[in-house]
Amino acid sequence: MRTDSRPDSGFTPEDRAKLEQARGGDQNAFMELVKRYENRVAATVIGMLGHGPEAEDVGQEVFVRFYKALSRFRGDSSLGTYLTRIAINLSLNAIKRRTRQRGMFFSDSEGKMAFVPDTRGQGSHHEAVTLVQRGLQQLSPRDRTVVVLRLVDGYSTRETAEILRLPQGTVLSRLSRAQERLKKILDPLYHDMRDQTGDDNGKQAQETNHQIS
Amino acid sequence: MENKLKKRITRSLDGDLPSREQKRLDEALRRSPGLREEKTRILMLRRALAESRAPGFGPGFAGRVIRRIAEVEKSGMETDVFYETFRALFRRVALIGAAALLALLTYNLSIGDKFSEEEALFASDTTCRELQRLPLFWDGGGNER
Repeated sequence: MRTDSRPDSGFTPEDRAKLEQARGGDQNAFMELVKRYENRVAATVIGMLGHGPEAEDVGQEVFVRFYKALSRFRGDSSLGTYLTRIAINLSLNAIKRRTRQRGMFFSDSEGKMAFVPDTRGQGSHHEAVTLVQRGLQQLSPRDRTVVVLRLVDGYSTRETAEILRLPQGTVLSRLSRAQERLKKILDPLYHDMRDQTGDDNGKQAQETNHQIS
Repeated sequence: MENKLKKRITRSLDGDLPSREQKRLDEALRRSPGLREEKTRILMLRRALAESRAPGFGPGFAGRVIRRIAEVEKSGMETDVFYETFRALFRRVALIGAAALLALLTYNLSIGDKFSEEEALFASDTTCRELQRLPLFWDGGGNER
């Protein structure tokens, strides 16, 4: 079973066939669609909410919504884009709910209270990932959405704007603001990375540039 | 100026910089070590973010989704059963109520022409004055108590 974690790989004939079978009540076809898109939904939801049971719950709810909407899904946008949009909306709802619930009992911010670090990784890479995820949780939900889609999930600026139904200029300005904030939050990580990579940092940065752009 | 150039770096990385501005930025980058440092910093930040991408929800996720859908459908069916039972009960009560109302109307109309249709359907329009005429308010000789 092929899992698709790359953004915007389009609405393939295979997807279309599985979708038709799922509409006809074939549960295995629907399960294959879930397997194909679960990584993409996970990247978005976990980027927005951090690791934890809440992210899993929202992830499942994305596919439950999709299942309920099977007959209405017309395929105007790619299935990945459609699911990512649901994932973003449900994540934003979860953040609102979380803020409301926490507000009743604590004065702390939504991010600090909710963050559950990923314990699946190991060593310094794991620490770096934890630090980045913690940094993401400190952004406002609106800015976080743009950063997650554009820089974590790897959607282009145009695709990000399409998913969020925003002008590209708004996406770019939010991205720039969020990036400035993240640079400050992740300053220790930057120094660590620079120390590790030493003279090689420029080369690696260039590679990243090619991957991202 | 420095701030403007920093913004240009971001726009350049997002492919949003016109070629003329890109040339100016490249020139500024060649001249300024500080700006080069800034670009490296942004690129490293982006690399760290890209590497933080979660690999998935863990094994067995699709199975959990299917189980949840089954639960949702089951609870939906239970709600439907409750709703249908309630609706059938309401329909029966409504029919009995309508029949009773019709019987009452027929009876009231059949006992004479003392009632208007309105009175037969609803309540008699007893006024305060009529109430006062009741023996409760008067003694046997017609005097007010």
